[in-house]
Amino acid sequence: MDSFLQEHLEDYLDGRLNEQDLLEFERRLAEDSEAVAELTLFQETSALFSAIRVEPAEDLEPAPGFYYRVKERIDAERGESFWSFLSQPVMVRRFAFAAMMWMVLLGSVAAFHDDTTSQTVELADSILKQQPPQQYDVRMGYNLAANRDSMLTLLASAE
Amino acid sequence: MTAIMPASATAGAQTRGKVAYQDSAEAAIIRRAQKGDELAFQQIVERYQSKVFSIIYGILRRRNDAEDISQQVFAKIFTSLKGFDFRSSLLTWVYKITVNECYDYLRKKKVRKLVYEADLGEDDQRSIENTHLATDRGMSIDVATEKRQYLMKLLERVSEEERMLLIQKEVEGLTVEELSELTGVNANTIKVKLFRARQKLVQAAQKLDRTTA
Repeated sequence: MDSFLQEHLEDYLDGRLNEQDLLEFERRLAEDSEAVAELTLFQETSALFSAIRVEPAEDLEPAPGFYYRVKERIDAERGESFWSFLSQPVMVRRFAFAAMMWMVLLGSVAAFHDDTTSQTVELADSILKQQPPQQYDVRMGYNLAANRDSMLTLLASAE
Repeated sequence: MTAIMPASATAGAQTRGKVAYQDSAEAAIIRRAQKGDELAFQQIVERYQSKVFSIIYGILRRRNDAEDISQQVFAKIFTSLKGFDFRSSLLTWVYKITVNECYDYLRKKKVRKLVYEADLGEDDQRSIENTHLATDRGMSIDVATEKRQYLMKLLERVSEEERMLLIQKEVEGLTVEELSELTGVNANTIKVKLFRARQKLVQAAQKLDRTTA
């Protein structure tokens, strides 16, 4: 089969060749017996396809609810478990957002806590640095009797 | 025939076709489905369910099997949609999966039949063979069934791409230009591929006829 015949074969089989090309196609075919034989075989195999062609009149639709049956099959094949919802993009986004919020919350608590501690330490330091007035310079110890005497002396001197 | 159009022009046309499809409304739905949007996947199913069902019914001629395999096709589409790269249209891709699923079904059915027969005694087997022969003789009246089985055997002997082109051309009645648009392949290249596919189909038929004879 020459290049012209090959190029126009599909349009010829579809009956879509214009008059001029059709005349040329048939002229070349008449001169080439091998091409005629090949074309006949092509037409024979082409005719076989009618066996799997569906008539447009045939009502060919799956039964209603087809999508849900497909979904069920997909879920069954995937072996959907309780935790599978975690793999859904929406859930992943929600978890990421929740985790971020927790980080922010914990961070701010930690920062506040550190601030309070440092203030307490500063206050304690400042109290310790203050020298008590001379008249109240009483040193207390474990001896309760001595403590009582010291306290009485202090009170008496204060009056 | 192969020199109808320069390769660079063919590549250019393919790129243009691919870009055009990637910008289409359908491509947007596919991208959403690829990201896990269930509603987008539902749209894909609803758009192609009749097509898939009719292709399978055309090959098997059994409604129950067509329903079952259609479900299987969409389950497969769901699991492999992330790998869809927009090189061809979704229809071509869906078509390919559908026809392959039909072949899988026919193969499994054949194996099941062989396993079942292997479990039987010699007498039982002989009785079944006689029944098959009787059925075959009966089926010769049903030319369409015979033709269908013969065609499926022939199509099994050509490449997947050639099979797709032939079925879409002969069954769907698509023109070379439409095939070019769907596959993103230049029209002249489609003509060459179809010509080779037809030659292979004829060779397969001759070989099969010799074997049967």
